[in-house]
Amino acid sequence: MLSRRTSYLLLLPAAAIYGGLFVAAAVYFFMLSFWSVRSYRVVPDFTLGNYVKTFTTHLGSGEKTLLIAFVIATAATVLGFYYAWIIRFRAGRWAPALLFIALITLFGGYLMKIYAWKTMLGSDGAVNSALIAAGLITQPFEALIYSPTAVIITLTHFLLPFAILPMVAALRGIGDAEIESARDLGAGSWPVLRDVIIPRARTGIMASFALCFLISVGDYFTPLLVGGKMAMVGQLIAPQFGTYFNWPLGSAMSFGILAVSLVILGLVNAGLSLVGRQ
Amino acid sequence: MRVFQGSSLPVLSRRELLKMTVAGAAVSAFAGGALAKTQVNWLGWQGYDSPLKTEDFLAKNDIELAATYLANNDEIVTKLAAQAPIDIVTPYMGYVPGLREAGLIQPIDASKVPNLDKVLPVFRNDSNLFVDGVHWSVPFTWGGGPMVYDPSAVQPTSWFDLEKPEYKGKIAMFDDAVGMMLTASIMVSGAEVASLVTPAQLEEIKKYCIKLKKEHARALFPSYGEGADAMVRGEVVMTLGGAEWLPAIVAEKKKLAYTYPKEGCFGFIDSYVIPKSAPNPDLAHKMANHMLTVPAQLDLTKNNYAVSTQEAMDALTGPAATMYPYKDMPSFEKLCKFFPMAPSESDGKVASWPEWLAAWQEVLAA
Repeated sequence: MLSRRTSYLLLLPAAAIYGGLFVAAAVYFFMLSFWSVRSYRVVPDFTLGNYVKTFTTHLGSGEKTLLIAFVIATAATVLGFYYAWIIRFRAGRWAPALLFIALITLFGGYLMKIYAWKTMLGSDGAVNSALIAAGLITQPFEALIYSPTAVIITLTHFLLPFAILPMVAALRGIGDAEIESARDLGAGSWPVLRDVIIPRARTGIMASFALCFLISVGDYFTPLLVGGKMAMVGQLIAPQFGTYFNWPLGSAMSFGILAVSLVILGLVNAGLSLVGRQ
Repeated sequence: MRVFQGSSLPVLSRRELLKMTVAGAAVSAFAGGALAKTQVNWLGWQGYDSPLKTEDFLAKNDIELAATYLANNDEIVTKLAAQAPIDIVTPYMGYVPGLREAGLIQPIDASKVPNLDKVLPVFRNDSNLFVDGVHWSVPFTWGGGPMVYDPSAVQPTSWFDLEKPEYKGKIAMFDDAVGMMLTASIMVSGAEVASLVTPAQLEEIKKYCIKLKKEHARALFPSYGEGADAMVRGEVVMTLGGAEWLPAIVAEKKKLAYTYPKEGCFGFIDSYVIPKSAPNPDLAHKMANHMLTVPAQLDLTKNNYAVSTQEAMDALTGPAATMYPYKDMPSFEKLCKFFPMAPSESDGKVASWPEWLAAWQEVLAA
């Protein structure tokens, strides 16, 4: 057995990397969010102006971003839960194969997936061609691409493995005896799901939702390529650190959207904890 | 301790090996010193350093090129303001007056850049770059912001053709603050210089961009290439802004064309500029002069950039010869204007560059 001191010592390298590359950078950017820019120079200051601008000028795009991210995270979590449930309770000896299929999609690059969907959803893409061939439409359905729908479809597909993995881990922690006990006591499928499986897998569900939600909120490349005229907040933050050279405003926008995202995650967690509570 | 024990190798002691290593290092240091190259720090757009590698120019002049690529023009301002030891920068011509007024760049010694005389006067004598008989930069490439269109679907002559109802949802805009807002300014602001507008005019420009985006655009494409792809697929037939090289890059897939609409376009000139704090100004002048040689100019066309000297234009062959309007430069001069940048800070009368960017953010978010 490792002593407690040795355990802490072994944590040091990871803590140093986390502290240096994430915590220190986050503290620096938080400080910067109160500074200002004059004549292309970042000037130390203490102004709330950047936050005021974030929650006034950029409120609309922030709301749109959070709504789209919420839809994506919900879709990915629900689909991921169903997939993980099949792996845990239905697939039997095929479970490792199904898990492998989910994992292997992670090897396909992020950009590759965006371009794949761009090709499929385009006017002459596979989806429109199939719909026309089936006689369901006569003209290509143009709202499929360059729209929020395209962003939701593309990001849900990209994030699905991230939703599945924590859920599989969580569902594996539920013993067969727990479910059988519930059934022995007369619980049907829905009560078992509501009163046993979801409460027991809540950590995994929440981890999946949080991962998908936060990645979607911060993503700016997918809406740029398939979103058409819409802009998610990441698209407005990214150029602040480049073309616009307004790091303080970019930092304030980042911390602003992060704060609201954490509040939403808190509410979702609270809502989830009510499931199955008598 | 012996370090080599093989039968065919000489046997050396550690001390002997150490001596040889020290002697070797001394010889290389001496030889290195005698053949020392001068490091020239270059800050510019990727591809604008490539012509310096033609004709063995760097080796012949013992130059070690330390190239740093730009993400945006403002980087030039911030780095020069910080007195960074940079020998050459390649700003958009609109930034040159600001750099000059801030005392961040030095005048070009034209006697050290004899090839400057070969540059077409429209670029060489542009008022952003040539002030009171003094050259502040060495122009080497240029271009305009034309409308690119699908000739099988439309024959536009005016920017306002974008508003025709039959092309609703068939026009491309780009995530390019300068290109979109300047073109919109030419269309609706009524300002004499499209980049120098009042805050009220800027508001008009913003509203017009939002209207075009919401009512007419198919999408705001992240790059010209993405827009060209959409034109190939038939999703888009006209663009607000664009580049002369766009039709050429998709020529095998679809015939596209470009035009300078009658209201006019913005143009750009990119040039070599020597900072006041340049550690090697003589070499910087030499490099600027080399950029205007025919081989260097022709090298630019590999990346679809335009050439700026008459002798390079005459030497062009193949698709590069027709990519830009070399045969009709008077039309280009008449319709494309080289606007200075908006001021960095507002005086209440002329909208500042940060105000332009903030307006563009509102367009994006709308």
